[in-house]
Amino acid sequence: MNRETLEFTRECFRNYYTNSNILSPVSMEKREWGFIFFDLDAVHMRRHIAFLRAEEFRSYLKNLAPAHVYYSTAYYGSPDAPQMKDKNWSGADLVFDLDADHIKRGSYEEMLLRVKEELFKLLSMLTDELGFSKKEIEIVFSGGRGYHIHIRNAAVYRWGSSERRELIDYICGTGLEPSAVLKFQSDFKENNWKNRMLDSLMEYLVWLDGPDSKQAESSKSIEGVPKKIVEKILEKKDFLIEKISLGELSEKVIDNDVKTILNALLTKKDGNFQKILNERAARADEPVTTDTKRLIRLPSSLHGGTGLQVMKLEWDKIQEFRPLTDATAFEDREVRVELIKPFSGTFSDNSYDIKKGPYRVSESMAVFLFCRGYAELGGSI
Amino acid sequence: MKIALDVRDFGKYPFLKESQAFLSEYKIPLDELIRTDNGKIALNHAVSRIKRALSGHAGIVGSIASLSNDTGRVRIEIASYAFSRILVSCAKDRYLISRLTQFEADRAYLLLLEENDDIIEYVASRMGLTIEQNELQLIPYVEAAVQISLPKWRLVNRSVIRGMVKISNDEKIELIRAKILSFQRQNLHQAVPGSICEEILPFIADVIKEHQEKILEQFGSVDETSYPPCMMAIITAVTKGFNIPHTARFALTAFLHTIGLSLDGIIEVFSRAPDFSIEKTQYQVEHISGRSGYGTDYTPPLCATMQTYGICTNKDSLCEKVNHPLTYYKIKKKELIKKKGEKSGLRNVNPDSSPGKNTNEDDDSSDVTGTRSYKEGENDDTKT
Ligand code: SF4
Repeated sequence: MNRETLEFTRECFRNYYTNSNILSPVSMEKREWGFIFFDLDAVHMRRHIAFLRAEEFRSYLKNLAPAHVYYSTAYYGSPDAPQMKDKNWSGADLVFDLDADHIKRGSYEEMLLRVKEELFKLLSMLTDELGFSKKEIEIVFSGGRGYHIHIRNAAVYRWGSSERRELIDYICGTGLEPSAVLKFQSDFKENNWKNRMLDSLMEYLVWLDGPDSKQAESSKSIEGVPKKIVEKILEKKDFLIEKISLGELSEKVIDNDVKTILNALLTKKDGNFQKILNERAARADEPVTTDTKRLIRLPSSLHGGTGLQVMKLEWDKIQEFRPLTDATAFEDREVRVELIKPFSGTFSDNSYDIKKGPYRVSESMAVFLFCRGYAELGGSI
Repeated sequence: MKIALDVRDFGKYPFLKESQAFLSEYKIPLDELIRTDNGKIALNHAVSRIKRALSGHAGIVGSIASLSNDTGRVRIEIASYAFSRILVSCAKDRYLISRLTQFEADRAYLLLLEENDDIIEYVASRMGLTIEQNELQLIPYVEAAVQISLPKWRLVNRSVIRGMVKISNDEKIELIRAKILSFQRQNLHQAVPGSICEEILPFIADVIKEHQEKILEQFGSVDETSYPPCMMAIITAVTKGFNIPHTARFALTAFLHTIGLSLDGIIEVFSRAPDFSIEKTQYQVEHISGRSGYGTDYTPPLCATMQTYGICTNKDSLCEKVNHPLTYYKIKKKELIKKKGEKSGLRNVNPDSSPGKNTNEDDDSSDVTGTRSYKEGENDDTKT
């Protein structure tokens, strides 16, 4: 970003912060704040800042128009103490972070679509399984490549990392132990990790028997399972699939061979079974949930890497939510830009496949292109 | 659910609010009580309680066997619970605090095993666990289950429907035990005014003496040649003046403290560093060994944890047989003593053991392994 583009972008942010309704987090005076500014040189965060009233941080945003705005999920007695140990932690919201970054590579739109599937899996686990109510769950588009879930529940807010880890491990299917899971009684239609593991096993058996698993022929063991056992299992594959899908899990069905295979497959973190199993997990980022002193983007602020709004979403709007149209934040007036590398992709319902050179685009798209490094402010055409 | 506990139950579960209320019938505050005859009797009982806490399973059995129906004796039982907390809090030794914490949880566990469902569910509910028809809510479940490291307690390995977690009948009591443990971890240690500690000094001295004798019984006198390779490596690093990570400092301090090295002895080890600063070291060592308060658990880490920290170094053949550096130390020391004995013509003399001592290897290793392990035989936990 050159100086002019930067000044322009900052002005757009300033306008936004001047004219929009900026949300204030619950107990805002107990939060630590952090900001990253538009600047030619630095990606440096100014943090350990506290505000006593919402008016104060709103005018801070207006005056300084930062590129990124974060606040702590934690509540502190002294949020502005420069040392973490002096902040006097009193609790934290429970958060989950879905970021396409470690879910899927691909175009920006593809990543956004894929991460939305994860969002639905996550939400259904949080409500149908873990029992959180819709009204304590806040869903936020991160403005970048994912979603943040904030849960405000007084009963969990004092939880430390180990309690939070139980939940994120559940969401991700981490720590599954066949001997323990197979022991509990449950309906075969119930959503739980026992059924997800067995479903994955069936899918894996089909794959193992198919043309894609060439290793099945060539190697002595598959994903750590001795070939002899693999052969035995494959022989009765159809029987297994039938029984498991009917939920008939007698000793004869889930015998020692099946247990051996499950144990071995689960330890192979990069194997195909794990991949199949992961499809059934919601792949939220573990450290974000277990870290009780995390900074997170402020809903209704702007994401300095895209110019999109960090946007709070209503439950009934998630399905139809299209980030690149609905989370745009600026005016419709046209801006002249100079594309410095070719851009192909969608923005505000239009597809583009454009080469370097001068263009006129909407202000939102201009800021998007600037922030993502595709364009600079253009001169006169 | 409304159940009236009878007098004897108060003595069984002295940590319940109603049991403590029963104590208030003494009609004087605890700090005045210590000056009365009744108070002196209860203090003596408190000392025995702590001694029992230091004697493993036998101590718990002894404590249960001595339970009485007599109102006066029940009251002393409950007072001894309250005083034992004061004593270990005054002693400010994490090991003692942690032993007493374990003792209270294990004792309640054994007692609950004999109770009917009504009493079990009642005690559970008083501890914040409402268990109905083998189901309980997610939040209390998680809070109790994190205390137990076995895989079957991980939420991912459970059936959870709309926030209700299923547990089996047998698991109920295990979960209550875990809950008592976490309750005691938070509450057992308390801030006691210095003046009170001073008044009961002889009792505290008695407790500390017992504690030191137990250590001597378990580990004998300190023998540096039997340290496991990981600890030697840390000591070498300290001696050379390397900046060692906190985890290593913690592991070494906890290890040395547990095998009975005195505070000064531990500081001496750290003082081998060229840039040694006495204030800094003293602060850190006291913090880890618990002299500066805090009731949280302090136990040296398991081999598996040491590995995770990347400080299990120079493993040797004996390492293959152990899962805890303390076990390494004990075995190595016995071997060395045996060798020495053979050389000097002595046989069958094990200076480690004094008459009547409990020589059960497994039993005492459960005293010091994973803080989340919860009963003997299940102490090779790796989750930290
Ligand atoms: S195996 Fe255990 S005792 Fe041996 S070096 Fe490693 S941590 Fe130490």
